Amino acid sequence: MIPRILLLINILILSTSLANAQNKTNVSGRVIDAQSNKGIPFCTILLKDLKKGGYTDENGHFTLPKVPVGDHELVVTHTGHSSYSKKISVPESGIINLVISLSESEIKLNEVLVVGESEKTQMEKQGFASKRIDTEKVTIQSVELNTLLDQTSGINVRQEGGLGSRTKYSINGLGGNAVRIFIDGVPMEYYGASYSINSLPVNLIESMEVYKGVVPVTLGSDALGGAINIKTKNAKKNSLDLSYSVGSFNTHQVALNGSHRNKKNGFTFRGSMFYNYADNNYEVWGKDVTVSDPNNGRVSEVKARRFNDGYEAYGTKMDIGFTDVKWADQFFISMVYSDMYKEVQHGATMNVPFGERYYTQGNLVPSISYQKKDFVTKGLDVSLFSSYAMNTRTLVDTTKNKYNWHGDVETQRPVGGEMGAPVHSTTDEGTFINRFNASYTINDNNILNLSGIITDYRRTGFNREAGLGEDTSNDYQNIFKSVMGLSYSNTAWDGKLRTNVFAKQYSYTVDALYHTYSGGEYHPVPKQSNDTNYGYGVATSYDLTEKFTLQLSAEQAVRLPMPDEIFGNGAENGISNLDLNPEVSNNLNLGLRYGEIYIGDHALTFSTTFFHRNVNDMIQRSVDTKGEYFFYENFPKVLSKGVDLQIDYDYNRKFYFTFSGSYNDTRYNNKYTSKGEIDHLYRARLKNLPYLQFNTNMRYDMTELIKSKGQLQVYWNMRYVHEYYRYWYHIGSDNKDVIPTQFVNDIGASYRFPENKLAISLDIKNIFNEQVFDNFAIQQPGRGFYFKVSYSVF
Amino acid sequence: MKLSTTSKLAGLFVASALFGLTSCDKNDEPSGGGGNGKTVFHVAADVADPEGDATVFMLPTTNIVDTTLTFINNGYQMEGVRSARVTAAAGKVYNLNYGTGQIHELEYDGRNSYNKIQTVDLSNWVGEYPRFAAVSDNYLLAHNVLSQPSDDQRSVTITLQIVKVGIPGLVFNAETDYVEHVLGTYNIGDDYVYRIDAPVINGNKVYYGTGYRKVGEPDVEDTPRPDELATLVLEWPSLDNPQVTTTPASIGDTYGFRGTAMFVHENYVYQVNMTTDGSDAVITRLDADGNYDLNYEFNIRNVLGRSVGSVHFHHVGEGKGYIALEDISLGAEVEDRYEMAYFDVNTKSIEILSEVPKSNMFYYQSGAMEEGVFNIAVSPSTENAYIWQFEGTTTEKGAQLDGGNIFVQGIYK
Repeated sequence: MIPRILLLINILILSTSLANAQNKTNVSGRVIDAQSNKGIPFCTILLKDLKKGGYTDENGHFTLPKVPVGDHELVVTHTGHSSYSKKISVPESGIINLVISLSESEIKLNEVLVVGESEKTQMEKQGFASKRIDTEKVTIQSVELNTLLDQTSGINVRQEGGLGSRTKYSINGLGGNAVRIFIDGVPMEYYGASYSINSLPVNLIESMEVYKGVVPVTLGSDALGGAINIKTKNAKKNSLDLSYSVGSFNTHQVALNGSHRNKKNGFTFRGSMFYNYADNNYEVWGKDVTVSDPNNGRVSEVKARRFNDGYEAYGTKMDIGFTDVKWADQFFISMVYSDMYKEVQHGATMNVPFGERYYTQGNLVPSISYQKKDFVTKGLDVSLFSSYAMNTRTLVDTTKNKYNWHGDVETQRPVGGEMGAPVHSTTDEGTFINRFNASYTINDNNILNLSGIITDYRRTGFNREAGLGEDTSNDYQNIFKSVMGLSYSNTAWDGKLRTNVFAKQYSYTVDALYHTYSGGEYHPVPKQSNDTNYGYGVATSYDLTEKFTLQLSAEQAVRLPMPDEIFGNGAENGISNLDLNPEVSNNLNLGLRYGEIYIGDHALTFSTTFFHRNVNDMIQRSVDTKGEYFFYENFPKVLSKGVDLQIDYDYNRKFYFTFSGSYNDTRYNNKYTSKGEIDHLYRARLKNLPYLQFNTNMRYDMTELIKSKGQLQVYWNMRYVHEYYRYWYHIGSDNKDVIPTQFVNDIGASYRFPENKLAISLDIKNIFNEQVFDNFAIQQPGRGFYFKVSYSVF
Repeated sequence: MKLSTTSKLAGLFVASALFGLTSCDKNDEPSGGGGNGKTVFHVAADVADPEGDATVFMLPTTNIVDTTLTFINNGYQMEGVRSARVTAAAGKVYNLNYGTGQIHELEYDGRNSYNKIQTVDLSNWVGEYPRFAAVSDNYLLAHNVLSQPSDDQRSVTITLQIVKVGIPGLVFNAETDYVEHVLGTYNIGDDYVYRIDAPVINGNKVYYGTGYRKVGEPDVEDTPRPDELATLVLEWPSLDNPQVTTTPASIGDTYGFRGTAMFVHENYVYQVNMTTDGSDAVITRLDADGNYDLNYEFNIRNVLGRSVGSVHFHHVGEGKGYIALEDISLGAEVEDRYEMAYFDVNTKSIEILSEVPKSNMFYYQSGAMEEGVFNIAVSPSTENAYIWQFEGTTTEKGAQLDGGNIFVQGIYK
């Protein structure tokens, strides 16, 4: 495999060299004020067609090195002056005395092109350990949101299989429910799997924000290990975009996204739809994929295609309302509808294949939202959101057929159910979700913010296969949660020091009704509990120089129990524990960011974060003494520390290279077990948790090579995850369950036709067809080819 | 002489290899230990973690007396989707993967680990969650009991599934080595067998300890117990003609919860019950025809003059052996409730081994007899754990164990 990688590297380097074999020269000059004729410092100089630029010095002088000979569009901007735009023809000798005169601007700011710190940079310099993932560059590729997240430093994404399979996220060593996911600031768990990171196509997403450990109050929720906020596309212009991707394993993904705004009255309509389908019938093999001889039980390994792993999901979101009108910046009445069907190929490992087990999930979420800047008084910005999420889950596992890895029925089980007892359960959930955010800008340097999320969750469920005495159709479970946050942001020392201090209140009330059955009757058993906790924190950043920023953030974070943790999940043998306490963690991040620095045509940004997490009362799954049921309890303490880093480099805005890596040292921190025994797992690295991961992403813009007005890009992604054990590291030495080292390579090419209407891409994932595992004994898809076409109607 | 870098590396490699060959292994045993005529013991530990996963590790050793045995960075992980079950017979180790229905045959590799030499998948006959036991050096039995309740839950149909597997080699023939018996349909108030395990062979019969229950009203809160102990007896080796035989000697199950609950002595099968709700701990016996000998009475409560709990026992020969007895006066909240005792079914005597600390022996599975000495692991939750050597009523500490949540559940050979 190594020679193949070297070959690819050579091809890439050769391509880069070829691309730079053309003539280049320097363009230099001075920008002056039209009235005073004095040089204007810190103007932005941009060669728009090349997306290449620089700044004027204190005297207004500038130099743009290595500009290709030929015609270019030069744009000069400076706050307080009208922008300047002109086509220039650069000869082989270059330009050395260009003088640009700027007039003081009339107030026509909407015509000024502002090139400054991007939203991404601004967010990453706020003091929170955070990353923003823009989807712009990859939106025309067949790429999933999970892949983009996985390429970000400090985040690990583990999937149980192909498209639509269950996914686990961890940020800096803390995972599971410690990581909360939001969509446009609203907790996503209430939407269900059909409208999730797993199902949403990249075309509908503008960006993803990742907060590690310390989460701002504007995402008012109880995230302990971090948060991911998905921002959907929010166009205010008329647009209609369509994309279709087809690929291996009978994978089809369709996305439609459009918006319309009436400039006269501000009426705005936004709509998006998606459809995903995959058979996920990729090949699996190894010691866990076996068939047995029907006569003597002898076991032989086989190479088999997955045959019960199909996935289908579709959904739509529509917003109708007004934007940029006098009474609202944004007012929408919205509706989300989505549905999904997913087959289940096996249980915790691939040893025993299932042939008929599946689940479905659907939701309907009407909502209303309102945003207004300078609401009632100048400086007061408000944002309100209210919705009711209706969610239905069904799990079906009733067959008596026993399948083998050939997909054949080997025999009949006397009792139905491929994963134990027969199940045909339906769970209905309804949640009122209310979110508000009010920020008041006292002056340029001081902002107050009050945020809150109040949810009222109710669940009912029943199993059609339940026996007498096990009917739960009259049970219900309620959780009322309130998470309120107050923050104060201050900017000092000419904007170099930014500080955000905050406090949060977390409270919840549980109200549940269960029934016992005796004497031929059901008897109600009501249960209630409630709790209130507080958290607080600070995030601060200081610009040592214009390019060098130090960041520090700390929080005592609280995570409230999730419904399944409190109430159990009958379909999966989970029993309730209403006495569960919230998790509490003290999180600390120390980061630095250096960049974007320019050395000739080279641009580089380096960022790193050292983190420390001390979790108490972690909510952990436990099994009852008979091993038949599981429940959640507070017990373990966990200590996690480590580092992540990311390097973003580009050469001449043609070749982009991103390297991210993370290492976490996450250890179990209990000296004694709950029974009072010496715990030999004390200080052991947490089991079943990846701890060393690297990703690289290379992208090369080959547009100039093909002499076309379109845009051709090629890319190459590498993912390395170091091996880790399913169980505890220091127990045992031989035949241990190990999740082997992964080294996965994806390559692809995309071409955007002139006029930006049509784009196509070809992606090859797992090009070396490596046997890849994210979880013990659950193989990921092998090599797959995907073709995608995107079209902007207008 | 000037050496090239390659030569230096090669030298280093050779030196490292020689060092590796001459250094001691983790048990300070010479390489190839066990090949010098010494008995190889297989020590198995359950390592529980907060999530309730109990992973089973096994390590081979010839020394269980004056050494320290640790599973820290040592031991072979046994395979189990839900859990691993282990046993040993005729020098081989057997690993049932509880969750797939596969049994693996392992052999000691002569050093510090095992080689897997054969696998058989029995899930088509006894499901993915059977139980198993070695009944001789020639056969394993794997068994499962299916309970199929009626729709109104007022009756249950019980079906036995048993496979006989030849060892070594895990030889199985679906035509001749598998039986399925419908034991019957039981209505409310009837007593029925819902689980079997811990089989022994006596003459031309195989005796299974049972989990024994009464069909109750459809009521999830209550599982009534019959007023008798029960044993399932089948013909051996045909596995035909299943019979459930009972005795009113006490109440409780008789399958030993993974430990041994029966042994053969002078053509009788002696059996201990798993006490429940304060029922009497008794040793009963069954004759060669598969019937309880109602004239034989060995009530441990009566002998000791106090109520105790029992689960399993370990025969060392001539009707004598060792049993863990629960001091039920301590209450269920106390972890270390079991004390060890020496019994003799001939004299119906029992003597508490007071030097041995109390521990939780409920999950204990196997001890090993060697040269007249019985070796058993005792792991108190808050004291050091040791392998103890018992000879009659004489006790002595042997190898020290990890203790804590590394629970040595059995010593096999």
